[in-house]
Amino acid sequence: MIKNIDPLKRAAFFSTLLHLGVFALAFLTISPEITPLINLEQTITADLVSEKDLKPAKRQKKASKKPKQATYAKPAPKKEINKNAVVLPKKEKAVPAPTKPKKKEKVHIQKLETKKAPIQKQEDSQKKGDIKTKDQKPSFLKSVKNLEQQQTIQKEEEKKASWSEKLGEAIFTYQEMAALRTQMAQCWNIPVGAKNAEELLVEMTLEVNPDATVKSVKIVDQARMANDSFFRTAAESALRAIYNPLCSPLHLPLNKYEKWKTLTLVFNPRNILGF
Amino acid sequence: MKRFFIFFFIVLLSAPVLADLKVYITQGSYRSLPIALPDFYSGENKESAAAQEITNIIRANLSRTGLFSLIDDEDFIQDTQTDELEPEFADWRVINAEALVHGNIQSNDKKQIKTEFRLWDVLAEKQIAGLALTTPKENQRRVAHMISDVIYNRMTGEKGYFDSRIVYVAETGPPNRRKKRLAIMDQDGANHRFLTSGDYIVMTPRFSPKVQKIAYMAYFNETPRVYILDLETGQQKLLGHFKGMTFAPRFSPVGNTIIFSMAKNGNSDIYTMNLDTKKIKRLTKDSSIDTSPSFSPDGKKVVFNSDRHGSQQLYVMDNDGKNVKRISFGERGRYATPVWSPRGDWIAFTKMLSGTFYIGVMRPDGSGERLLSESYLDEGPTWSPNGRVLLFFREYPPGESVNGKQSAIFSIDLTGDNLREIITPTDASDPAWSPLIP
Repeated sequence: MIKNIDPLKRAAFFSTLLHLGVFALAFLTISPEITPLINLEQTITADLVSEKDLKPAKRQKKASKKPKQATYAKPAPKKEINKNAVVLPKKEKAVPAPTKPKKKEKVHIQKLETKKAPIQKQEDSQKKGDIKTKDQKPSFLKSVKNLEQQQTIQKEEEKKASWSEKLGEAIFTYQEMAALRTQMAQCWNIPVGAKNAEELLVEMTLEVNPDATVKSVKIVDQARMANDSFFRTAAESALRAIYNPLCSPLHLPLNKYEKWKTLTLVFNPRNILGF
Repeated sequence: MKRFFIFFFIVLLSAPVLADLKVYITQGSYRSLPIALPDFYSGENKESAAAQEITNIIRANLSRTGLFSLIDDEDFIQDTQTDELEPEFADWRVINAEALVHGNIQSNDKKQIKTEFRLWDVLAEKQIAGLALTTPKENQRRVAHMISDVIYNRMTGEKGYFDSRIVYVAETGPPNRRKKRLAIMDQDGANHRFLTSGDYIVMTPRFSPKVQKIAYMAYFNETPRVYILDLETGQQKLLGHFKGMTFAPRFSPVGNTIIFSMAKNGNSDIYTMNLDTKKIKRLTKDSSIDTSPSFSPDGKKVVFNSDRHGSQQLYVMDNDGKNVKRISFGERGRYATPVWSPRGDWIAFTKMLSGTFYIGVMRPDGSGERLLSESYLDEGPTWSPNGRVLLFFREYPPGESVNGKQSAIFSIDLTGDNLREIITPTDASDPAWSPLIP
């Protein structure tokens, strides 16, 4: 068959093959290696949408699976304010935001807005003794001079705290203060590893009911709460301590209500984090 | 006058009584945050497998951080099998949940899946995050990582690090014929693949800021030189034609410059090369060995190690080579492989002292040194995108192996807690953690 082809064409055919071979060889030797194309890039676009309608929840009765439930008193009935807060406006149509030009696959992101919930904590009639206390991890920070530093920092901190605490002591005994601090220490889950954690001092003002449950709570530095995400997290962790059922009611002497009906708590992670 | 003084003192004494009670809380606990994460709801549609996979990836991500503890599904009181959940917060408090995540997945005609989720602070009784992500189905792992990042960010205040990758050197074969290949995988070990064949030895891979390129050193044709691998095209290029050997490359934070070491006539110095203009600049001119340079996140400073004063120590200089300042002053011991944290507050390093290796961190001015891990050989730290976790590799003594491996990659928290092995198919060394995928 190939003999019937014009010798010139045949020569051209072999020559092309030879050239291709040479080029391929040269190409492979120039670069150490050519790996197959790696399809890694997936581009992302983001859309904002409004709130969604939430349907009323179905309550599940799994009593048989829930021996735990029996150990708790039934949760207090929901406050009306809560009910209202859950009813969200109707779902609005999504407004697609300008999308980035896409290469391949896209992930559209929509933001689901926060529903407004009451700030006040719903009262829980759980018995404290029934709640499993979480293990506190031993200090795991391995520092070259960790122990020394911890002690020095603690002394400094105590000095700083002492002035205002002495004011408290004038009306409030040391034991009473220690009881509150010990209780809060159980409930406060410290945000670890945040940048400049030593600056994350959270001050909050509490209004307290005569039964020592928290009536309202307010973070003092609202501006920082809005602008500093590390601070917001620290503040939220402190708020969770206040809302924690283990810390309700607060361990306060009920006969001294007038003295603690407004209370300022300062959550200070400095000497705990050690860095 | 006397009366005035008496009045004054009465006012002064009554001041403490009038002041609000202020209590300092200086103790807390380090328990992980209990989070309830029921299976994402897929209803009657066909996406139950996707829902299960996404939920499992998020659970695994959060669990690996050591900062969250997942509450057993069996303990849930409220039924979560609904597309939109209205939490009964009391039901979640009873089982000690402090955070609750609920999501649902739907598919559409375009073979896309839409994943919605909401995150609630159970104790404060409020929604604190909510997103809807629409994507082709094959992207569902990334969707799970992105959701994990949002949850992590909202609960810790720091950016997440789940939507990121790890490049490392995969090692196989006996010591005298060791095969070293570049390999890449997601931060959770998924999507593992080899990038080079193993015909030549590779070392110290480093990502570019956009995660599109990798700079590394290869012994190609028996000459150690720096190459740049483009992950999109698979093409590799030599970083300039230099007379000496080049090694220890890293990208600048902007990504247009490579900083590296070059050895000529037995002397190693630090150079930069602008990838656009190809302009080369020499930063150190010392007769000692200067190597392992790493930029600060703002690109203004460089940390490196040098033996200019005898033993190997860490130094910081300006990005033009001026103002060289020693920062490590360990009485004994040598310091190597410094790397600046992406958030700028720490420098991680390898320390060698009395036959033991440590991974440690110190402030950029050399203060606050802390050692996080120690072993026969721990080396080569690399930061997570948020500067909160470190990866490094651990080599076991000759003849010893753990789980069939002679060397493996480990992660450890900046706090020195939560040491975990990153599972790789082969022995592993020289990890580099990418920034978040753009």
